[in-house]
Amino acid sequence: MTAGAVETPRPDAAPEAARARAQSILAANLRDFLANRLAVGSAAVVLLFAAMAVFAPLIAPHDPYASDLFRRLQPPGWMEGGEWAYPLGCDALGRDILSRAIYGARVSMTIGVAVMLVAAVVGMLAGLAAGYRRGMTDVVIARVVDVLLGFPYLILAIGLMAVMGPGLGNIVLALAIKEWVLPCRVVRAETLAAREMDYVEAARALGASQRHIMLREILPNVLSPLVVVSTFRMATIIIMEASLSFLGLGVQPPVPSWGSMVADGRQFLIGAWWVSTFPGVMILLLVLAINLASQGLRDAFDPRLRR
Amino acid sequence: MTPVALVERLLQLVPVLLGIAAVVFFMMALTPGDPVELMLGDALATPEQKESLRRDMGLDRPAPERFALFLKNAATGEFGMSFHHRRPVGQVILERVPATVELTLASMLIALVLGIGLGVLAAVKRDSWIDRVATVTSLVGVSMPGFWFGILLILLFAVALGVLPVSGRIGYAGEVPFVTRFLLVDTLIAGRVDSFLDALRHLLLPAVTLGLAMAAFLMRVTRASMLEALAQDYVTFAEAKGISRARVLFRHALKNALIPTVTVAAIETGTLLGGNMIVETVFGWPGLGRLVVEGIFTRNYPLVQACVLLYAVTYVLLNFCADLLYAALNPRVRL
Amino acid sequence: MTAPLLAIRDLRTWFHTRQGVVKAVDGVDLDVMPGECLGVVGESGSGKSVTFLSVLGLVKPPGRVEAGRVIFGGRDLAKLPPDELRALRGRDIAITLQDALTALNPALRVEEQIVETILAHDRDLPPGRGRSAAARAKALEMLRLVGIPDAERRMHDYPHQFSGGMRQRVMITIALACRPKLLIADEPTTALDVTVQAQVLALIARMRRALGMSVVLISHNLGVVARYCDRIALMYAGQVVETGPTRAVIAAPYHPYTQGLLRSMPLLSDPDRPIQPIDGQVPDLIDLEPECRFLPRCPRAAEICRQPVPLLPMGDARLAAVDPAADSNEGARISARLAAVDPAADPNEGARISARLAAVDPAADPNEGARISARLARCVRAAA
Repeated sequence: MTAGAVETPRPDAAPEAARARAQSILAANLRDFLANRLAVGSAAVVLLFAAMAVFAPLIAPHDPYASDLFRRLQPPGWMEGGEWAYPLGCDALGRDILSRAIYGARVSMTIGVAVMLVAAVVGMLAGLAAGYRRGMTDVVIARVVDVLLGFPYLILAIGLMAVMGPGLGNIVLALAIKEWVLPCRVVRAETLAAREMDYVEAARALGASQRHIMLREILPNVLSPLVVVSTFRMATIIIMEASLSFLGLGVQPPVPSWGSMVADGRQFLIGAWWVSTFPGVMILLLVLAINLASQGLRDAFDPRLRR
Repeated sequence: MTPVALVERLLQLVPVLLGIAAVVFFMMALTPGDPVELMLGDALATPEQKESLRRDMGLDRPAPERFALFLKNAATGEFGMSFHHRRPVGQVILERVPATVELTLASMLIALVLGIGLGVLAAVKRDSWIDRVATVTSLVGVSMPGFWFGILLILLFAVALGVLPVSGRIGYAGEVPFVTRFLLVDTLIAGRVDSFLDALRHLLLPAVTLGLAMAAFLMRVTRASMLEALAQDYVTFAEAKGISRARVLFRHALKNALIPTVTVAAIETGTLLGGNMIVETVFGWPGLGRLVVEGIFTRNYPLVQACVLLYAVTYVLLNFCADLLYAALNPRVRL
Repeated sequence: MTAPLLAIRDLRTWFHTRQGVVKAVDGVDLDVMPGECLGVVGESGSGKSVTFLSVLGLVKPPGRVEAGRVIFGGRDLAKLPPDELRALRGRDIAITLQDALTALNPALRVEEQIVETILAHDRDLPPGRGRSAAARAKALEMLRLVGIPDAERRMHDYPHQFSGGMRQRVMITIALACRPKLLIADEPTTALDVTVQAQVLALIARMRRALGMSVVLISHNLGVVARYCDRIALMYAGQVVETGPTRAVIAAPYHPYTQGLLRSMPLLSDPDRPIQPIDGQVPDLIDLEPECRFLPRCPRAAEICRQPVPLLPMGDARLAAVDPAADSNEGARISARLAAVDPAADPNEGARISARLAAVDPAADPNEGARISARLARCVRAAA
């Protein structure tokens, strides 16, 4: 461990010490993470997907919406009847699957990041409040959490999408409504531990406000676990979005989403396997990369889980 | 566990169940449009008829009263009419439940056997090729969207190899009269072995698809907790006693390793229940999950509401059972 | 001269970690005589527990027994097939671990944990239906023998329902269930309250007499060992540095580590004596130089200590890994001691005389040593 973790801060230096401690731990954790080649490689793949989403118009060889009925269900480039201008073939409307798959990253990444951020912020605030203030706040939040945990994730999301109707914003809402629970639990547990620490006691003794203590003293120390759990959940969020889109409850056509692309190809499994297959490969690659990267993050940032 | 403790523990479920009912109730309040119009659908009705229907449904009452009515109806299984089916919602659901239960139980069986079995094997043969293959497979398993995996299975076993059916519960030739609506049971009651095998063949792909994600997750948890158990002093001490290796592994290590696994398995049944919708859609399985998805597209809100509530309550009760099992496995826990 | 019950020769158990090879046990020689109580003393990390886990074949990866022989009942346990070694564990050699709370399985009833041991080994059990009932009766008998009150009822309890001392007794019951010839008690008192410690040690001593077994008492507490053991062996950084009859070693330790250890202990008889801790730290067991491992902390370090220091016979059936030449007074003292003892009174005279020879010049003549006494042969081999 770093020296910062063991030093006992002077009361008057408490805020600086807390920050310095958090920073030095973060630096050491970052070094651990960068030493894990598989995790760094996976993180690079995730970034690649992000870049693909941002620069989709520059990368995609064709317009993802342009249909050409002469190319209906055209096979991939290497197969008979295929051409390399459309390397992964075309769908039932003759649209280029590769281009749509590239554009599909936009929906997945947008929703993945948006839900993750909303959940992290809401979960963090709720967790801080529950863990630091205890009492009624804690009880109320715990009840809400219990109720939300009583719903299977996809069921709740489907139910909400059913009544709210499709749309990007609604997907984010339908997923975030349960997604904040896990960050909240993690932050609450960390806060409970942190509030007993010397530097928090010291700040309290010095008359610091509750808000100051929560945001300036405790928050830096719950950030690492929060980051770990949030990145870890992004994989699930992306699968959830794809599932909703697959069921036709997510992003609406013609916007390309991997989940709905797989659904599109379902009718053509006999004869045109590529329509469903390639968008699924994209989901698998991205989710696998996120899982591996977040596993590396967890190993580096959460020493309790280290083997 | 004493009966008193059991009752206490059951009472703790009440606020959670009430909360769930409230969420489902308000979820429906979010429904766009007038529920009466939705119920009537295309049917023509005079304003007076609509008004009377509104009164019959209790829609003119204040919200708390409507919630109380909803609770009472929910407790008696009364969810109104499914307009689409022209029959009570409860009845429609009940018909579909056996198919889903059959599928879910089969998946759970696959998940438990595969997940725990491979997890134990990987832990015992740590760092061997079995461990590596199992670990990589499980990582891919948790990263794979279920609907896509199902489609890959169809492509491989139904389209390319042609050894398993694409969809449905049973072929025309194998159909038997419904008794329990569990086809594996009904075919046997009818004494049709060929039908039974056909039903089994239809069940295989959906059950594997649904069970895989849970199996992958369980495998990881089992492996980790088994490794932890194997590193404990009590395993060393058990080995020092000179008892058989099987006894050390399965009686001493596994019993402890199962304790965290049970909890995770219970939580993961949520994936199984949610996965119903996906897998039943992919494989055309006539169960509850497909009913919900169809219900959404036909705007059959009472049906969707009832199903969501049913799934959530089932999930809570499953977790409750897991708590009991947890206590049974772990003598240090007293409920 | 009777043959030892257990003879450990040049045992090496290494742990292959990512940081390097940790030589936790590196060339240990030990004898346990029939019926005796041998105390093995050392700091944590000195390799005393690993030594005896190696004897039982219980070292887990990344640890591995690299070399050495473990002779028990005429067989080399290090070369025994796993099944035969398993059959021997719990029946002939039993072990108790430091903390009964972690050594007993929390999820199984005490009854099962005792009975399974008996069922695994006891050949006197009647076949068929009465088998488990007979095993259960034997378990109950042993529980009563170690002094668990209300044993009949308490058998059905789980380990966490027992107090610390009772738990330790349960563990001892399991170890003794098949009346082993050798009990290895690994830190039997460390996890216990002081008042219970004495009870447990007395229990082990009583059971040793009752069952006529040998006991190896592993402890970091020289005081505990001094009180209960016939002989002691001191371990430092994976090696034995000194062995001998308890009384003699404590009265006049040869090895500077033993001396330091004794000086660092408070004495009831002389509470005002200043306590001198040993300076420095136990060395990192990775990438050790082939020199005396105590060298960095040794007050008598000399140039010759840069070479491997073997265990040398010091007379009185004692061995120590010191170079007598490094300290002329020490050499003189050995001679003095030898001279002071009437050779005729000592049955091991031959060994002693050659030992003295070896102590003066270990390289003198290995053949001669082997001819005169087995013990000398060992010491010369260790020197090689």
